[in-house]
Amino acid sequence: MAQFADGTTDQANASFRPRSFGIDRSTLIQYALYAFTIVLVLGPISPIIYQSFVDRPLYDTGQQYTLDNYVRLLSSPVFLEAIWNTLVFALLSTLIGTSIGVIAAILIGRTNMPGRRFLSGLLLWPIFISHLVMAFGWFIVYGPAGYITLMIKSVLGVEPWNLYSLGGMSLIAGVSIAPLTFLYCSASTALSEATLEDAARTCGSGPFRTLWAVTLPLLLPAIFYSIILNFTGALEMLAIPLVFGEPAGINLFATLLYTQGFAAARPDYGIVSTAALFLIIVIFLLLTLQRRMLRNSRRFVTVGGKASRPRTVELGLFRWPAFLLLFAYAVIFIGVPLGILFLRASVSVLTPLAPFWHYFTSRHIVAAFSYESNIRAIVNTLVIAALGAAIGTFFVAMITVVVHRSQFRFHRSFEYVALLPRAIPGLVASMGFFYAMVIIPPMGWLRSTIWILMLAYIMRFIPLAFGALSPSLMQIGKELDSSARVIGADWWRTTRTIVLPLMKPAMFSSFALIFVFCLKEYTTAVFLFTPGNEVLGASLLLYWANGNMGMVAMLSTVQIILTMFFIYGARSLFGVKFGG
Amino acid sequence: MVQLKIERLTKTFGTVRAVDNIDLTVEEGEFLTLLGPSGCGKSTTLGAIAGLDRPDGGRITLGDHVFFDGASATFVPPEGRDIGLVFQSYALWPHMTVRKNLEFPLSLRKVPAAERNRRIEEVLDLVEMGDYADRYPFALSGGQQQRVALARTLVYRPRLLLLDEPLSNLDAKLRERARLWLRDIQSRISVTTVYVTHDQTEALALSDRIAVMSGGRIVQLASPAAIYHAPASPFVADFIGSANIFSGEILHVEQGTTRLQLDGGGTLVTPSPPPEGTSGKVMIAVRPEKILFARDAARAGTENVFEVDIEARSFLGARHMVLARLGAVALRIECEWEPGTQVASIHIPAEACVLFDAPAPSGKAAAVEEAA
Repeated sequence: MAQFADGTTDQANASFRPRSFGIDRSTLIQYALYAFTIVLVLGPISPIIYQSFVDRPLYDTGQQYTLDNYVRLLSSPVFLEAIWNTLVFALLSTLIGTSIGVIAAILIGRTNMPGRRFLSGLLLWPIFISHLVMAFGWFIVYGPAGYITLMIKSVLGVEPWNLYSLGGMSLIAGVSIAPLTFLYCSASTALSEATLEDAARTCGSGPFRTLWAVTLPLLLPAIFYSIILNFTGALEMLAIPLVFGEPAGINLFATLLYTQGFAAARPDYGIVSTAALFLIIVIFLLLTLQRRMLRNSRRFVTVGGKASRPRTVELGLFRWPAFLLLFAYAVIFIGVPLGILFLRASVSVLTPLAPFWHYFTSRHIVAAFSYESNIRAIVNTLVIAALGAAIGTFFVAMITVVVHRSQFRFHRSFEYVALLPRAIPGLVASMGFFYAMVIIPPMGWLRSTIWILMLAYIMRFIPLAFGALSPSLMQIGKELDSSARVIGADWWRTTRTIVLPLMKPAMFSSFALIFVFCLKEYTTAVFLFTPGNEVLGASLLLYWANGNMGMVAMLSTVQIILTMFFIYGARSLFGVKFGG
Repeated sequence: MVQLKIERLTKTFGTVRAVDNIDLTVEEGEFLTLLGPSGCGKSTTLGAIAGLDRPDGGRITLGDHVFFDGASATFVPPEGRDIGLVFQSYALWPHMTVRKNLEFPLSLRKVPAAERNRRIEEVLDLVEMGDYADRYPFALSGGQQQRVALARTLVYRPRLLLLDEPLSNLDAKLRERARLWLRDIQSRISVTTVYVTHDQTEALALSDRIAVMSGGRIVQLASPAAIYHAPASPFVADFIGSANIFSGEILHVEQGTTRLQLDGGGTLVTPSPPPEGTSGKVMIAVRPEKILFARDAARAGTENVFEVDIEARSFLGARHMVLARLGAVALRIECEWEPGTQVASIHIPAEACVLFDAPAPSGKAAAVEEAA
C-alpha cells in the first residue's frame, strides 16, 4: 500500500481535472426546467388576463385596453346571482362534505367499530371516479325521473326530494368531496397519540364524550385544512351544477363559464375571461390561507406514520349501529349510483314501472366498441394517461430535485410556480390553453391533437405529483447526494445516478396517481377536444348534452372498469398504495 | 506541497456568526482535528472546505488550487475539488453494492476497468472488507459501513481527506478499535486529513494538532499534549478533561511561585506564572485526576493541603469519582483511593494548577466600582 504515499496520487488523478465552472450543464438544465415550467403554467393564464382587459376577442385585430369587462361582470345580474348561488353551494357542500368525512374518519380511525378496513376502502372509492360519472349515477337513481325517485313516488304519491335545487346539489357535491376530508383526517388520526384518549377514559369520560372532547379537537388542523380544500373544490366543480343545476336554471360560476364560454353560439370572451380570472384569484387567496395554516400544522396532515394502533375508543352498544350507519351511507350514496350505471348500460330502458330484465340489450356495449369516435376516446384517454403520467412524473421529479436539492438561485419561486396550478380550475386551464393556441401561431399545429390535452393535463397535475414526490425526496438523506458531489459528480450526474434511482418508489406512486386522474379528467378537455382527439370525459359530456343516457352509462362503466383494473394492477404489481 | 490554507473564513446564518474570521493551515500529511461542542462552527468550517456550504468571506486554498475566494467571488463546487469526505451517517448509496459504491468515483475519473478493479480490491483489503464487495449497505453492520465509507473515499486517492465524526455512530468498544485503525491507515497513506469531532478523547488520540473551537472561533491550536497540559483558556480546560475551575486572588509573586488566596478559603501556591495583565483576580483550573487525597494527617500543614467535605461518591471501576466541597467551591476528584470518612484532606499539586485571568465582566464591575 506504499504506493498511496509515493506520489502516485497526482499521476493517478491526472485525468481528473476540474472543469471550468461558468455555465455548466447542471445550471443549464435547472434554468431550462424553470423556464419551461413558467411557460407551461403562466402561458395559459396570460391570454386570459390579457383578454379580460381588451374590448374584443383575442383573434380579432385592433384591441383597445378597457375595464369594460370588469364593469359588465360586476353589473351583470346573471353573474351576481351566480356568485351568490356559488357561495351558498360551496358553503353547504363544504359543511356536508366535511361533516361526513370527519365522522367517518373518527369512526374508522379511532373506534372499535366493526368492518373498519372494509368501510375505509368503500368510502375512499369516489376519489378515483370522476365527479361527472358520480353525477350521472345519482341522476339515474335519484334524479327527477330516477329509478328510486319514481319508485318512492309511486308509493307516496309525491316526489320525495328535488335534487334540482341548491340543497340537492350541495348534498351530492358534499358526498363527492367527503372522501378527501376522510383521507386527510384519517392520516391525522393515525398519527395522533392514543394515550390522550386513554387518559380521558381513565378520568371517567364516556366514549362519546372522549371523542367529542379529545379526538375531535386534535383533528382541528386537519379539519380546517379540509374545509378550504372542499370549499375550493366546490367553487370549481362543474359536473354536479351542470347535471343538476343547469336544467333547473340554477347558474353557478363554473356552469356560466361553461355555457357562456363553450356552449354559447357567440361566446363573450371578454366577460368569460374576467370571470375566470376572478375565480383564479379567489381560489389563490384561499390556498394562500391554507398554506399558512399548513405551515403551522404540517404534522397533522402527514400521510403515513405508525402502521397499526394498539388501542381504540370502545363504542360499546353503538358498535353495530355505527357500522350500519356508515354502511348504509356507502351503499346509498356510492354503491347504488355506481351500480346503476352498469345496469343502465346494459338495458335500453330503465324504469321502476317495468321490469328491467325485459330490456337487456347489447346495443351500448357494441356501440362503445364499434363507433370510431368511442374507440378513439378510449385509446386517446389511455395514451394520454400513460404517457402523461410517465412524462409528468419525470418532469415533476426533476422539479422537486431542483427545488429541494440544488443551489438553484430561484428554487423558492420555482416551488411557487409549480404549485400555482392548484389555483387554476380545469375549465379555466382548458380555456387558457385554447386561447394560447389561437394567438400563438406556432402552437397551431397542436390543435386537435392529443398532445395539447396531454400538455394541459400535465400542467394541471404538477401540484398533485409534487405532493406525491417531494415528501419522499425529503426523506432521502442529504449526505447521499452531498457525498456524490464531493466524490466528483456534478449536480446532474448526482441526480441521475443517486437521487432519481432512490426516488423510484415515490415515482411509481406519482405515476399511478396521475394516471388515474387523467382517466377521470373531463374539465380540462372541454375547450381542447375536437373530433379526432376525443377523450372519455369529453365524450361523456357530449352524450349527456344529446340526452343519450345509455351511452353515458356505457362510457362511465368503461371509465370505472379501466380505473379499477389499473388500481388493482398497480397495487399488486408495484405495491403502489392509493389514498395514503 | 498540498497544504490546506484557510484565511479569514467567515460564515453567518441570519444573525449568528457560525464561523468568525478563522485562519488555519494544515500541513501536508498532517492529521488536524477541529474539536468543539455542537454549534461551535466546526461542521460549518468542514462544509466550507468541502464546498457544501458557501462561506460569506475569506479564502480557502489547497496547494495552488483556490477553492474559495470571497474577494474574487471564486467558488469551486464540491465536485471540482478532488477531496474526500466521510460522513457521520456514512452516506453509502443504498441502491448500490459495495463494489458499485466504490466504482462510482473511479468511473467519474475515467479510470480504466482493469485499474479500477485493482484499486477496489486494494482498498477493500486495506479496510479489511474484501469479502463484502457484493453486499448491499443495509446488509452490513455499522462498523463495516464505516469501513466501506472510508474505502469509498480512499479509492480515488483524494488530495485531502475530511472526516465528519465518522466514529460517533459506533458503540464504545468498536469506536476504540476503529480509532487505532483509522490512525494507522492515515499514517500509512499519509493523506492530509481534517477531522471533526466533539469527542475530546478521539481528538487527543488521533491528532497531530487540535484546533479547539468555540463560538465560531479557534480558541486554541496546538498539539494534543499542549492542549491537555496547557489549556489557553478556562473554556479549553473545561472542555478537554473537564477541569475544576474556581476563582481566587493573587497575594504575591516571587521567584517563580505565585501565592493565591482562594475565594473558598485557604491559600494555594503554584509555579504557574500569573496571566499577563491580570488585575489580580484569577481563575484556577485543576484537573480532577490531579487532585489527591492526603492519606496521612502528617501532610496537614504543608502547602496546598485543604480540608474538604465529601458530598457524593461514585465508583467508576478502576477509579473513584468524588464530589467534595471546599468552602463554597465544589470540586470533582478522580482518584484511585478514596477515604471512607466524611471529612478528608486533599492535596492539590502545585504544578497541576493553570491560571487564567478572571473573566471580563467581574473585572469591569471592579473598574466601575473603583470609578465610583
